[in-house]
Amino acid sequence: MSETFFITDGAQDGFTVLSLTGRLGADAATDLRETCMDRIEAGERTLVLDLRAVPFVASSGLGTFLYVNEMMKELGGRMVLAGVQPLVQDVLSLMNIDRFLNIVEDVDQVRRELTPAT
Amino acid sequence: MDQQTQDHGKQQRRVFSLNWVFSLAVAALVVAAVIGVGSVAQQHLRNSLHREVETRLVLEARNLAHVSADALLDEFPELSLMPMVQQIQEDRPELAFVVVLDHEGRIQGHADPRQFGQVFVEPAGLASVAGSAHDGNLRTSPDLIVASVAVQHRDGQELGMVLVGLRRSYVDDVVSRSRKALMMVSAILLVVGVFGAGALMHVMLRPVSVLKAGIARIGQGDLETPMNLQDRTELGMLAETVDEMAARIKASQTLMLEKNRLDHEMDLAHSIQVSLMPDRQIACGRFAAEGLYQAASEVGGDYFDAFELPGDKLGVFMADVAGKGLGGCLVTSMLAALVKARRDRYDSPAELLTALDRDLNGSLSPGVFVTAIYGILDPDRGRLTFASAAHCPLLLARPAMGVVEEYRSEGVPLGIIPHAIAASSYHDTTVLLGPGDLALLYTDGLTEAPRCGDGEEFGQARVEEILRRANGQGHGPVLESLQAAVTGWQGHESRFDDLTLLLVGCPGHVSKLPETSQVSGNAGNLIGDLKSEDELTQLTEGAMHLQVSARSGGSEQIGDWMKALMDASLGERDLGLLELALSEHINNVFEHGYLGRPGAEVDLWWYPATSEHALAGWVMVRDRGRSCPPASVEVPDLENSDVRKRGRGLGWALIRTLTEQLEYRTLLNIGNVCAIKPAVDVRTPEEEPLHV
Repeated sequence: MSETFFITDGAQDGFTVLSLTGRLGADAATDLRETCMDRIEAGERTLVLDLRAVPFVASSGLGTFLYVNEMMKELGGRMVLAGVQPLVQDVLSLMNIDRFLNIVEDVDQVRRELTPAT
Repeated sequence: MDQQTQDHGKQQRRVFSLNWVFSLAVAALVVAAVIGVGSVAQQHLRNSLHREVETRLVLEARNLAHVSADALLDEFPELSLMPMVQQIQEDRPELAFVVVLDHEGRIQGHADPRQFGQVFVEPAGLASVAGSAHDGNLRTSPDLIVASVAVQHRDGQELGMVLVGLRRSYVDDVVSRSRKALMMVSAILLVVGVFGAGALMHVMLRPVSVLKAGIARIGQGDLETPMNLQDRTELGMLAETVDEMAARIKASQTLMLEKNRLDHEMDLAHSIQVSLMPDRQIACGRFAAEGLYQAASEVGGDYFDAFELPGDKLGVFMADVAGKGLGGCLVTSMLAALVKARRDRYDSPAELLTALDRDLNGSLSPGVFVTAIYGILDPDRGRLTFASAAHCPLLLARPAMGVVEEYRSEGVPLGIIPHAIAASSYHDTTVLLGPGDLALLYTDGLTEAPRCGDGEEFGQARVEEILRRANGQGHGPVLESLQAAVTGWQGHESRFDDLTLLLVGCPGHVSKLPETSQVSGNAGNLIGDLKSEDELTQLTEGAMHLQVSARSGGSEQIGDWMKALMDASLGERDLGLLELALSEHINNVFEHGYLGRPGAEVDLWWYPATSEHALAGWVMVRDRGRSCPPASVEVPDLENSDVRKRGRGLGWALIRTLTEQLEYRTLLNIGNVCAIKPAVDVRTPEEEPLHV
């Protein structure tokens, strides 16, 4: 049985949300890396990865998070992980790499922070 | 006999002139011939004279007898015979006597008239001559030759006797005169013959003098002056042959000088090439690098170097230039200079190879390319990071585990294809070097060395076997073992390719598995002692079994399988983390053990914690791919932003984090067995504040 994984690309006001669905294994990580690089090359500097539907992240997925995050930092942008599931959060914490990443509760939190208070 | 004695003998030996030898020989032959012919002629002449004299004497006697017949019938024969005999005596003084006797033997004719009527008394000592043609008429004594002929009447009546005596001294005198004349002629012939022979020899042997002078010139080194001997004899042909020989020697000398010059240049090139490579062990912390270079029969294109880098690191470089001779040596020298100039600028081996490819691209002749491998050793962390440009695989021997790991190149050769494509093919790979581990860099002169006789190549398997036995040995003995093995393999055949080896490691220590790989209790012994598939079957009896196809990312089957097992000892979170650890391990097996080959099988056995099995609470994974023990892989330093940016190599770190204990063994007839004891209720480090 092959893994089912897909990415939904949704532009928001001032940032892009990539909604991921499925297990983030090696092949999926490659897809994610290429999609992120496409968005970065297109000029996007705030990239939100919505992980609400991602129950499983392999090491290749963790590597992709770090890679894209470092790329965005070099370019003056940022990558944000939103809706991280408990098991994935545990893995990030156990590997002690969550300290390098921007992790928020959900996409709305990003939107709120980017929208000036009226 | 030594050279000095030979020279001495050569100086003492007398040399005879061929001209003189031949002249003397011919003169001797002429003398012998003249003397021989003269002697024979003299003897013959003497005999002829004797016969002639005797014949004439007999004839004279017969004539006298004939004319005396009528006179003896006269009444007074003395009146006619006496004057006639006196006249004969006067005319022939050489005659001793001439006598005409009557039938009574009384003298009727004599030069001395007083003898008339006397009885003739013959000289004493006369004897017949045996075998003479005038037998009966001729008698001789030591002083005389006497012819006697009867005087007969026409009717046959005997009237008297005529005797004519000739002095033998007369005959001897005649013979002597003849001999003197003959000797005179012989002497003249002798003189003419000797001088003629000398002159003839001088003329005939003149080419020998020219040959002698010409060969002497050649002996003194003058090969350019031909003899030009115009002679139609064999000596002329010999001179032409010597001239041709000298011309060929001259051409050979020219070729030899050219070859000597080339050999000298090749020796220089070889010296330069050897001088580029370190001839001693390069130490860096507890690690060291040591190489070996054995040149082929001609200058090759191999090169290696080991050097200290900024930050107390050790750099190791090896290259093999396709092409031998001066061309290959020049490229090698250029490469060495480039490496020396660039090595301090790059922390990443792949980046240095990329820079070298850019430098070499367009600089190499068509068909010339370079394979290379470059590694940087961090001695503090025991990390060897390397990149390869189509070079021979890096072999990493881990004697404590009895395994030799192979790391094949993914890069393309330097300088052969467009730089943009080549640059993307170079990647860094990092391995951990534990105590006793040895990394071997080599060129194809090692594995492709042909066996004497059938040409079978030495092969990588034999290299690995030598490395596998190199437990606790230093660099030198291992290098010597490899060299001896290859030399023995090739026998007496001259080495066609260079043999270049470079060992990097921590010498003189026996490797121990890191703490993370130790198994508590007797679990490690249980899998370490497995000898056969049957023993594995016994060990896994009672365990839950799952067989999956290895593929990228592990397998979702694992999660479903574990949930179905419903092991009460593990909560949902623990099961999820174990599933992740197993998936990572299977992914590693797929990528590194099976090298991405799809469909290869992996077996998993689950020993429920509630069972009474010695491995209760463990999961065991078995694959049949290449050995890739976790101890060989470094834990990425995530504090380094470059490491984070690469975004790779987290798999084993994740496995270690998610497992309480882990044991890995490569077992003969069974494959690679990895026993994992999952972490139960593993605690998450205290979270740091989030910064968005």
